[in-house]
Amino acid sequence: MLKVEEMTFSYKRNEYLLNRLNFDITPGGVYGLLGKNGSGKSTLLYLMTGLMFPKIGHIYIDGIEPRKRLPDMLSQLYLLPEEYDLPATSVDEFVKRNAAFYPRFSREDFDRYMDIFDLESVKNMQRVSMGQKKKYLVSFALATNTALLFMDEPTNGMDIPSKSQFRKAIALGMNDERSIVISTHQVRDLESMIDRVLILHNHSMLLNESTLRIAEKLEFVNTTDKEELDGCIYSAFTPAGFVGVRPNTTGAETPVDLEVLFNAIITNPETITNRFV
Amino acid sequence: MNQIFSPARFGAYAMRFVSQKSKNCLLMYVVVTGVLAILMALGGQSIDFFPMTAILFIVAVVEASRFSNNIEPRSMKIGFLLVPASQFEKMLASVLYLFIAVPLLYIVALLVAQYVAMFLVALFTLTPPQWAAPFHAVTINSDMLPWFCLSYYSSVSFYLMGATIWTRNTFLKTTVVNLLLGFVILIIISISAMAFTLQSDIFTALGSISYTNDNISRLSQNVRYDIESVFVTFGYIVSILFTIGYLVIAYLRITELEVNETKR
Repeated sequence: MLKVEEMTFSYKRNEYLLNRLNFDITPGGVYGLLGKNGSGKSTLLYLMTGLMFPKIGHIYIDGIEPRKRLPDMLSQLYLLPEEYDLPATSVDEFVKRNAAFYPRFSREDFDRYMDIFDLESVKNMQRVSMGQKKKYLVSFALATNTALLFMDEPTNGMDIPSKSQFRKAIALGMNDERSIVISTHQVRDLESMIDRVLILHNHSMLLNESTLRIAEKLEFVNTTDKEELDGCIYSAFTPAGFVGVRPNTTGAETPVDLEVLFNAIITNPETITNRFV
Repeated sequence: MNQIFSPARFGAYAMRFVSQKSKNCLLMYVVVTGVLAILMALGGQSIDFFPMTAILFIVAVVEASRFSNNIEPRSMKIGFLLVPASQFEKMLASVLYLFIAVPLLYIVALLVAQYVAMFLVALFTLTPPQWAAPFHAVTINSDMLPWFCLSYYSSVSFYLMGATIWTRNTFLKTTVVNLLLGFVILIIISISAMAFTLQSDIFTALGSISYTNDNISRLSQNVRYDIESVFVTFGYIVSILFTIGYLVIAYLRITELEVNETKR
C-alpha cells in the first residue's frame, strides 16, 4: 500500500534527518512510530502524506507519489496532525463540508466514535477544549475509513479516561483494509494496541518489526529481584522494582513493554537489531 | 475521476470554501455597506467613480492577501493541502471568489448602501425618504471602466501571488513590492514613451520636409494619436499577460508548497 524506497530527507544540506529509509506499510495493521523528540517522526508522517518532499528516494502510495497530491490519493489517506485548527462551525456542518471528500465516510461510525468519547454535537467547534477538539477530530478521522490513517501524537491533550476511550476507538476503527500509523513518544498510550513497531533513531529506522516477532525474539522482565535481570541487554530501576529485556531463549512469549524496548534499542542498537536479522 | 478538475469535487470544495469564509465575509460586507452608505449620505446621495472603485479595490486586495490564511499557520496549511481536491480546484475557488464573487457582492453592497443612505438622510433631515431607482447614486465612468477592470484583475492576481510568497504580513509586504514594481514600470514606460515619441517625430520630420506647415501639423497629430492607441493596446496586453503570469506563479507556488516541521 505505502512503500518507502531509499528515502532521504534533510532540512539543511548534508545534515540528514532521515537517511535511506526503506519500509512498507501494509493493510491491516496498527503501526507505532516511536522516536525521541526531534528524531523525525512528524517529518516522516508529512513525507508519507505528501506534505514534504524527499530529497532522495521515493515514497509511493499504491504506485503514486504522495507529493503529487492527487485528489483520489488524498481521499484515501487522512492525517491527524499534532496541531490543528477547527472552523467556528457546528459539528454537523464540519462533517457535512468535509465528509464529501471521503467516499467511505460513515456518519454512523462517526456517531459511534462520538459516543465512545462521550462527545456532544456542539454548535461551535472552536469553543471547546483542546482535548475535546482532538476527540472530534479523531472521531472524524476514524469515520473517514481511509485506507491510510496517520496520527501525530494523538493522545496529547487527552485526559486519562480519554486515552482508554482512544484505544477503544482505534480497536473499533481497525479492519483488514486499513492501516493506522500512530506517531508518539508516549509509548504507554499505545501499549496493547499496536501490531508493528517502527523505531526512528539516529536518522534511520532502527526497528521495523511486528510485536509478535518482538515477543518471539525478546523476553521482557518485570521483577523486584535484581538477580532475575541476568542476561539482560538492558535493565532499569523503577519505583516498582526492575525492568529489563533479554534474548528470548525459552520460547515463552512475554507482553512487549514498549518503553523498555525503546530504551533498550536506543542504548544498545546493534545488540537488539542483530536479534532480528 | 479526473485528477485536475471534477465538477462534483469542485462543488464540494466550493461549498467548504463558502462555509469557511461566510462569517468573515458577511462581517466585512456589513462594514463596507456602512462605509458606502455614509459616503453616499454625505455626498448628496451619490458616490463618485473614484471612491467607489477605490473601496472595491481595497476590499479585493485585502481579501486576496487573506489567501495566506490557508498557508499560515502550519496547521491551516496542512488542512488546506490535504483536502482531497486538486490544487487547481483550490486555486480556482479563490480566483472565482476574487474575480467574480467579490465584485458581485460589492454591487449588492452598493445597492443596499444606496437605500441605507436615503434612509439616513431622511432620518437626519427629518423629511420623508426619497426613494430612487436602483444604482441611482452610482456614477460610472465608462472611459475608465476597462482600465479599472484590467488593473483590478491584475492587482488582485498580484496580491494572490503575494499571499503564496509572503505568508506573514502579506498585505504589507505585497503592497511595498507592488509600489516598488509600479515605480520601476512607470520609469521604464516613461523612458520608452519619450524615446518612441522622439523617434517618431524625427521620422515624421524627415519624411515631410517638402510638406507645408499645415501638413506637418496634421501628420504630428496622427502620429500622436497612433502612439496613444499603441500604448493603450500595449497596456491592455501587458496587463492581461501580467494577470495570467501572477496566477500561474501563484498556482505553481501552491503545488510546490511544503510543510516545514522546524518552523512553527
